[in-house]
Formats: sequence, structure tokens, C-alpha cells
Amino acid sequence: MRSKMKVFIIALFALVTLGLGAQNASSNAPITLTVYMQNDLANPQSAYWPVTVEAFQKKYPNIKLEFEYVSGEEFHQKFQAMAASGDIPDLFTCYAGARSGYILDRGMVKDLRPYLTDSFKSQYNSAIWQPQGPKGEIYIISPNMAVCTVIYVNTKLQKQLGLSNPKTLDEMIAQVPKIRAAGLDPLAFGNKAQWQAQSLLLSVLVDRMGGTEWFDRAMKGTAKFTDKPFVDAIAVIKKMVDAKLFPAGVNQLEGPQAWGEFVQGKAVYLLDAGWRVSALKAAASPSDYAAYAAIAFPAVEGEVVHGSSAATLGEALAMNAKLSGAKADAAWKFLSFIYGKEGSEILMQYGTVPTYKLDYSKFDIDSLNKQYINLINNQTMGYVIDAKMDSEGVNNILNPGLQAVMMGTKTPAKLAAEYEAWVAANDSNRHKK
Amino acid sequence: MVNARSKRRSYLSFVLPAFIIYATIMVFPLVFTLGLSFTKWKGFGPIEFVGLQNYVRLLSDPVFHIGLRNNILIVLISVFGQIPLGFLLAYMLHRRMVKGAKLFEIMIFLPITISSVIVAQLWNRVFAPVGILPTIIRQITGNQDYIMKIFESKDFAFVPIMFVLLWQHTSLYMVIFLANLQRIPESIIEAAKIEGANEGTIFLKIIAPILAPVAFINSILAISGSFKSFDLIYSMTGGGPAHFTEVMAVYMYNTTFVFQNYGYGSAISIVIILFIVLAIWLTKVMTNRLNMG
Repeated sequence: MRSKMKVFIIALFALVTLGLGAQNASSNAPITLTVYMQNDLANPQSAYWPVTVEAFQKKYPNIKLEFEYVSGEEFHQKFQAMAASGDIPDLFTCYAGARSGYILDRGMVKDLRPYLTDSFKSQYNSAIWQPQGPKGEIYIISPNMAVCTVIYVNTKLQKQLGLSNPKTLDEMIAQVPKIRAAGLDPLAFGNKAQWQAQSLLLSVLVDRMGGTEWFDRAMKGTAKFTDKPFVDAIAVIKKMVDAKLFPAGVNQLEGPQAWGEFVQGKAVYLLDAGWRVSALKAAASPSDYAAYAAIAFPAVEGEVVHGSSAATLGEALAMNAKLSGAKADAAWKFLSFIYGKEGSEILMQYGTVPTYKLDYSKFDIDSLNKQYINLINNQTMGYVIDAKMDSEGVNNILNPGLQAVMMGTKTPAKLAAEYEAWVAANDSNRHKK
Repeated sequence: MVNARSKRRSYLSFVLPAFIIYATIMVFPLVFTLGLSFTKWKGFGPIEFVGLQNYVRLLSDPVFHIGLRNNILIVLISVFGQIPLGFLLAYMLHRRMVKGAKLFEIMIFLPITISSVIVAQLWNRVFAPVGILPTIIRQITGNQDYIMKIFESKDFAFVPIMFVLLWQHTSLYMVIFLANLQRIPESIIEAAKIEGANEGTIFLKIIAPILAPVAFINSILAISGSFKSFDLIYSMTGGGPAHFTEVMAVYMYNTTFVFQNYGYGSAISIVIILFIVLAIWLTKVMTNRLNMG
């Protein structure tokens, strides 16, 4: 009987040992993650990405990544078809808003909050932890904030003309005659693609005039887009056009043509987004680039928020809600690597300021980038309208309407009324169940 | 009996594959689009039936009206601009009215071989405020603020696009006319000349009647192409500024795929199809009447 018991115990031990061995073997087994990413690898701004992936693969050789890259609008078209079939990859590019509604509304994206400890979150700019879903969900760790309004200054031209940085918009307007007399444009800006006047200009002006609290109320419908802050913000744009701050034909000018004029020394100031820094560096001669400065949009009469800009979270990879176990762990390792210290350092080396807090003294940062980092670290950020409101209202009513206002075929009040009417009838922010 | 069955099988084996392909890529999407046009749908989630609401909205949508007006302008410039000009050029080249006909043939044909996106970029670089044309005019006039104001006119912003369409597409019709002109036996023309016919008589009595069916085919191509106009305009202006250069296809694309309003976008698609069918039917009726006359 005793010998039988011995045999039984030995057999049990052997089974348990073998079982554990098998389990160990499976935890070390390669895990493959499929990644569907909105990225154009031919774009010089994507140069950081292969380096990041290589660094990750070096650290985690057991996690295999199968990428599919699609750029532009095609990314969304294909992804919508995948979402409709219910079969989406393990990781995918996701926006923290309506642009990714087709996957967010279906509950296909994993809420990352269980992974986000306080110490983890403290390593990032706190602005990225604003709720991204109706119940406070966090779907993405945005690696960079798209700061939409920066005034770039050609200090060489400024000195030649005996000008100084304008503190108010009226001061900037007062510089127009002198700049125009020198055959230059005061403020390079292009709005042919229609979104620029809204994303780069109206958004910051609405924040200055009403602040994010007013905008939150307008989204819900307890305030209206016919209210003073919104109408006044549009009126400021018209004032800028009438004062000839912008180049002639601003609505026929492409964005690259506008900043191209600035790089060629044909404009003293440039109104553009924060992400333009690397393009300016690549296009300008080193001596010209060294003379560029970055300042906040000047103060506007009647503003209630001072010195702010407008920003939205940059898109990032998100996790499939169905992932669990070893696959989910591997996916989290990948996300926390590419958006953590290692990935952010690579991003910084390639000229993008990450949301992860780095010791900037370790990096060789040029003067314009230093000014830009200082600027955005000391600014409050308003909302970018097209990141908050439904695409149809913004792209079909507001953006073309701003062009009409700038060309003098519509008044600010009429545009505000048209937009409010559309929002009240259609915008999902006003019709949340 | 067996023979009849065998014939039917043979018939089906020849027709069925083509029918299945046609039904899959033409009939099904069309019926699906028609169905969607009565709904409100974001491209995902529940589909809500809204009856004729999308079509009613079209009646009061100012952007759609601008698109429709511009599409009609494209039809007019195509039918009354590109086709007559194409014919004129083909006739001049065929009748050797200019020296170096081959060179002109290549020059005129070149624009149609270039991608519309490239054509759009090319002309953008001519018309833009920093483009060649405004720069030259600024140099000549000394007016440093000169821009092509026509692009900011609600009524005339579409004129430069019509010019580019004329420049790009005339050659297609020229080539079709030229190929058909070359099929007319030279002996007929020679015989007419011997009989004392002048250039006008040769044109009216010989060439025009022979080319009438070709003009009809060209008209169908021009009309259907006009209502589908997308690539050049999307690349050149995207419908802007302020919707001034909108056309129905660009508006349909934006509504459906950018604004994700699949129901309304489908209604615009159905209206585009109806306009094409109507315009081609009108062309056929008019051609028949002219032939009878």
C-alpha cells in the first residue's frame, strides 16, 4: 500500500513538474502582435519609427510584430471595414475623439486605466490624462500634443525694421504699414485647405474669449455658438484680414506655400502649429533658423484667458479590447516602451517634443525648439474645435464659412448662427444619450 | 428536347459569369446605395430609416446647389466647348490646314495623358498667389497685392477650372474625331472636289453627316464624365474657397467618407446617376430629332 502511495506521489510530482515546465515554455514562447498603423514611412517625420521598433525588438525579441501601414484617409476607410466585420488587429492607431468613433463607439478599444498607476501617470504631461471616453476611459497614451497655435518670428527682419515682439494683436496690426512698406508680408498664413483658420486660429481665439468652460457648455448646449465669445472670436479673424496682416489671397495659399514664404524671408511672422518646427529647421539655412523665435499669439482685446494656445492629443496606438493574458501583457510592454522613456527619447532625438517628461539637458536642442518647449510648458491649452465637434459641422459649415467671412461674403454673426443651427440639430455632443 | 436544354446550358455558361460579375460590381452597389439613401448611417452602428428626408434636404442644401450648378457648367463646357474645339482641331489637322500637323497632334494630345492630380498641381502653381501668373502681373503692374481675385468670386471662381478642363480634355475628343476622319476614304473627297464642291460643301455634305454618330458618342462621354468630375477639382481646389468650386461628386465624397454621413452621401450619388441618365437621354432625343430633320 505504501509503495503504491509512493508511486502515486512520484507520478503526481512528475505531472506537476512537467505541467509547470510546459507553462514556463509557453510564457517564453514568441507572441505575435498584429499592428495596423496610420503611418507613411516615406515621410521624413516618420524616421523615428523604425528606430523605435528596432530598439523594442532588441529588448523583447520574443514579441513579434506584424505591421500594416496605411496613411491618410485610406487608413480610416479600411479600418471601418475591419470594424464592421468585427475583426480588428491587436494594436491600431486610435484618436482620442470622434475621428475614431467607429471603433470607440463599438467598445473595441481597451480601457488602459488598469495599467495606469499614479507613478506611471506622473511621468507624463498631465494634459494627456483628460478623460477620453464617456466614463473617463483612457484609450491612448498620446506621445505628443499637437499644439496648434504658435507665432514664429524672423528676428533678423524684425531688427532690420526696428520692430519688437507685439504683446497685443493691436500692436501687431500697428506694425503692418512698416512691414508692408518694406515689401514684406506681416504674418504668413495659408488657408486654402480650409482647416487652418479653424484649427490654428479660431480655436485659440475662442479659448481666449470664452475659455474651455464656456466651450464645454457650448458642446452640451447650455451655451450657444451664437454667444459673444464665439462671434467675437470670428470677428477677430475678420479684423486681421481687414488690417492686411495676412498675405493677399490667404484663402488661395497652401500651408506649405505660406511657411515657404516665411523661410524665404518674405514675412516677418508666421502663424502655424507647433509641429512646423522640424520642417522649418529642414527648410531654412542654419543662420536663418538660428534667428527664428517662437512666441504666443498676442493678447486680444476682450480676452478672458491670457497667453493660451490650443492643443489636441496626438494619435497613438491602442489595444484591442479583446486582448487578454500573455497577449495583453505583450501589447502593454510594447505601448509602455514606445510611449515610455526609451521611445520618448528616440522621439526627442528626431525633433518631436514628447508628452513624457524628459531631462532636456541631455539633448542637443536648438534655440527654436528650446523656446517652443518653454512656451508650451507655460501655456494653458484650449480646445481645438475639430477635435471636439463633429466633422460634418466643422468641415461643411464652419471651415468654409470662415473663408467666406475672410473674403467678406458672410458676417461673423451669420456664420455663428449657421453653425449653431447645425450643431443643435446634428452634433453628437448635443445628442448624447 | 436535349438539344434545347443543351443550348440553354451553353447560353447560361456564357452569360452567367459575366452576369454575376456585373451584378456584383454594378447592380448590388447600386441597389445598396439606393437603399442607403433612405437611411441615416455613420458607416457603423444601427441604420435608421428616414424615408425621403435625405432627398428633401438636397432641395434646400445650398452646397449641393452650387455643386449642381458647377456640374452643369462642366457639361456645357464639355459639350459646347471641348467637343466643337476637338472637332475643329481634328479637322484642321486632318485637312492639313496647318504646317507640322504631327507636332501639333502630339502637343494637343499631351494633357490627356497626364494624371489629373499632376494637372491640378501644375495649374495651381500657375494661379496661386505665389504662382507664375500673379508674380508676372505683379512685376508688370507694380501692384504687390495682386492675386487672381476670380478664385474668390462666388459667381466666377469656377471659370479657371473650366479653362483647365477644356485644356485637358479637348484632346480626347480631337483624337476620336481624327480617327474617324481618317476612316473617310480620300477618294470621296477627291470626287467631290472634281464635282466642284468647296471646303464648306465637303464639310456639310460629306464629313458632318459621317461624323454625327461620333459626335453623339462624344456627347455621352462628355456628359457622363462631367457629372463624375472629381479628381481634378478635388486636387485643385477641394471645392473651396467657401464651397465656390464644389461639384456633386466632391460633395458626395466628403459627405460620405469624411463626414461619415452615408445616407445623405448615397442620396447625392443617386441624384448624380439620375442626372447622367437624364442628360444622356436628352442627348439621344436631340440627336434623333436632328437626324430626322
